[in-house]
Amino acid sequence: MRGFVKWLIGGWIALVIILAFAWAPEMTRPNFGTGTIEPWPSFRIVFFHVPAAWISVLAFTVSMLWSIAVLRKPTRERDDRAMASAELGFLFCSLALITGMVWARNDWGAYWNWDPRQTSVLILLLIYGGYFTLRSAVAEPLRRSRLAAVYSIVAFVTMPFLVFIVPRIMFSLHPSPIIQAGQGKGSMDPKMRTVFFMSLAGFTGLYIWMLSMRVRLERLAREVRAL
Amino acid sequence: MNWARGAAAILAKDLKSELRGRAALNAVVLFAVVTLTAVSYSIGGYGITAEIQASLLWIVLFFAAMAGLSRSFVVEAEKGTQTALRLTATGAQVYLGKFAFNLLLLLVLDAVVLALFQILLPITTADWPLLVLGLLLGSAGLAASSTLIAAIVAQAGVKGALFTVLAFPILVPVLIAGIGATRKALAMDGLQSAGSEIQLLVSYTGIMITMALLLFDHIWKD
Amino acid sequence: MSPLYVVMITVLIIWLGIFLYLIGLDRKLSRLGREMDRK
Repeated sequence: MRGFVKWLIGGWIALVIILAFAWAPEMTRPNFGTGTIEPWPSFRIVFFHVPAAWISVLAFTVSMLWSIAVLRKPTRERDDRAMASAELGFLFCSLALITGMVWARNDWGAYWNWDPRQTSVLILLLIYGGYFTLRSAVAEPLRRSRLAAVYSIVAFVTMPFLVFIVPRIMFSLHPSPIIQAGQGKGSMDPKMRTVFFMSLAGFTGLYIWMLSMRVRLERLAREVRAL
Repeated sequence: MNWARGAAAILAKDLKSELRGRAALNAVVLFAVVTLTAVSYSIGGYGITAEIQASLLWIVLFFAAMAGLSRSFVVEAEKGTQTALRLTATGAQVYLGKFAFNLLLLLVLDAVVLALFQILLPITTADWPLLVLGLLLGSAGLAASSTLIAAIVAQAGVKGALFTVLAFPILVPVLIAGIGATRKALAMDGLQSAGSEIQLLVSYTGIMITMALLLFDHIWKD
Repeated sequence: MSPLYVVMITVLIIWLGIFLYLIGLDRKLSRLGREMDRK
């Protein structure tokens, strides 16, 4: 496909890592205990945590779009693409969850806090886990692609509820420290914003590359089986 | 309004066979009774808060629904009436008929669970209109998604756990909103305070029914 | 060595590993693809 672009992606992300730690200025936050402004080094996780989440949403959206295509005309290629993108969505969502848990452990002392956003992301993983469970439960390929496509579309529709609406309802119960993280993102220094968008671009490139590889792998596997 | 007549016909058929056999109703009610009894036996003596009461109510409802609604379409596959349905009714009619049946089933379940609650873990003060509204809307959301997932699972040909695995995560928004609304009803916070929960339940149910109507033919065709 | 730099180096090394693995996968896929095309 495009050989040097892959190396470009590799170098780009390496650059993002360096910039995120060495060039982006230190983030600060108010310490409500001592009443001073203190440095917030763990904030740098945001450069990986949020892009991972956004790419996950992108991947699930792409999966939904290919699923609609599958329902219009069920070809193996379309089904491969819908599945591959769902897999990558699951992967990046897991990455977002793990980086989030590392951040939470660092800032609030525990990996899991029943924070509304955290919980919603976990539910999202369960929903797409269901997608793969469903696929493995149906033997016949045409029926599998159709049912999986329907489920992918339904799963996508629940995302706005889980990502936006449910956390807002649960926040009314106990506003959590994550509000500070939200404020931190809004008031980002221009250098930070640069690194953030560079990271987003890098993750997007990585996703596109991994998607094309996964689709190629699936097509090859089918050809091998047909031998 | 031909679709309504078709849907009503399917609803009537299901109601008739249910009144004859009562399989789904028995499963659902029995499950709720057993679960609620077990739970209240273990924690009833400790004096539970309104929050826990609300959560318990919905957990019992949910798991009873999972037990009872999973077979919505398996009956057709078993009895071989699938082909007949496919010929005589559109996907929308089948879905709406099944949805209506499941909703009725859940409403009966709601009544039973509420009654049991009054006996085992009594609700002393509550904003009853809000409580009932929350249950109604939550049941509608439950029925909307469960019917859709049940159709998918029936076509997948696998029984049992697949339905719960697929349906439960998708229904989490309904669970959260339902618990929220019930909790506020028990705390007498007033109808206004549960605005977001009500909004979620209404929009969720609407979107799920819409998706089901759009997608059902793809699930249903052979 | 500030702990921040330790983390950075660690992440870089992990990324290097992941990236080289992906490149390897890519090469293998291309090779297999060419073999299948010949068949």
